[in-house]
Amino acid sequence: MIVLGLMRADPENDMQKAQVVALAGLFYSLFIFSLGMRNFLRVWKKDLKQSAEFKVLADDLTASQNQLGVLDGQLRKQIGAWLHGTVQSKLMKIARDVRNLDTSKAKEIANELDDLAENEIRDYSHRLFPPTLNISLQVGLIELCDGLAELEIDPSLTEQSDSGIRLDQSVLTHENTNVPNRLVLPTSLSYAIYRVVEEALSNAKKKQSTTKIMVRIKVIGNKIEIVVIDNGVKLMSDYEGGLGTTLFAVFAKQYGGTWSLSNTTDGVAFQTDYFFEPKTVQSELLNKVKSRE
Amino acid sequence: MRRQTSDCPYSVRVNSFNVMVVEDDIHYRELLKSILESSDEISSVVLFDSVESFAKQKNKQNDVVDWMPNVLIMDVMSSADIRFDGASYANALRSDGARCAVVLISSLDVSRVIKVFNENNPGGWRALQKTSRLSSAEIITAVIDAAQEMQDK
Repeated sequence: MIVLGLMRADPENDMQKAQVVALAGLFYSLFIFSLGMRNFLRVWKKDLKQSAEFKVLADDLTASQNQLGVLDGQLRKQIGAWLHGTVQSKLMKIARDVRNLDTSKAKEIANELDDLAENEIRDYSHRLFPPTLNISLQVGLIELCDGLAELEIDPSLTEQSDSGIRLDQSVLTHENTNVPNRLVLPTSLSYAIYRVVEEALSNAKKKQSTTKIMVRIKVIGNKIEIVVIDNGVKLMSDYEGGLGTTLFAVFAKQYGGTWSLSNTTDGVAFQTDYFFEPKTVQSELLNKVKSRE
Repeated sequence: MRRQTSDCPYSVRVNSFNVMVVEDDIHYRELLKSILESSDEISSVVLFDSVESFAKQKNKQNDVVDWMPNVLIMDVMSSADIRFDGASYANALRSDGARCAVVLISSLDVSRVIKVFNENNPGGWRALQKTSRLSSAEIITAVIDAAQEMQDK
């Protein structure tokens, strides 16, 4: 409209025509440019919005995965404890009562009940959650490494550390500076450590050339470092991993850590690290006492 | 110490032990009580249904050392809070100077646990696995052996 108006203003003048055409071109270019910019801004805003939405979704996914990991560990532990504490005990009581009937048939039934309680339920609950982990990670790993590997575990995760439980009081402040405070690990983290060590041990054991395996668990601030080293045959250059490496990756992702499997001068080293919020048994007990007050 | 049996009227009671039991399963708790009370070498049996109720009672005592039993029979999984187990609790008490023997009782095989605790607090540890085949004699023997081992330390 503007261009037509200008053209009508002085149609005889070529110079003016040229100026009008130039102006029209300029306006047209500006118009196209503004349309392009508008479009670009719209797409850019949309991208930004989508990125933000994706970030929220990704964060939600990570949080859900972590939550599932925690719930998985807790549920495994609870069902395992129920199988051990309730089901096995009840079966044992029934077996005892039946055995007391003192007939050969009764003894046979009692033996079957014992077999169910002591073997099938135990095996199943062990697969769900290694029961020795209910006592401590140290006890669980000692059982796992028994006769297979040398275990070196951080003093703050051992039974020798200070739990804060006192004979003459429920909880006291830390007194003995030579003894580290005992850390309490989330159930899911203890379970993850146990399972990756179990998997790494299994990989090391499979190699006939392995004669020595070393398991090392170290706490460095808010990070737990897990190392399993063997002196068996080294990894092939085209090694791609299997289900075990998927397990390493899943747990490493869950705890925001990394993992690696590499050749050393003598054999193979598996290493992974998990991040956690270090809490002592003592502080947990104190919180428990405070919550009751 | 000479072992005394209930069917020997002339046996001399040289020593007797008091026992506390922490067991959340009421049937097993009562069963342990009746078995332990049948032994002349056990003078008293006090029952607790959880680690928490034991700890609560312990914390009420003016003289805890005197209150503590000769033998503490501890069910490994008898805490209401699954984060804290009976075995570690008993070991913590021993680490803090409790002079009581500990018999861990569980449906698990806790022999390796005993090995770990023995390194930390040597002597006076026994483990019993709950099965219907576990006899009264095995329970009493474990309790008395643990108590004697602790006494001889």
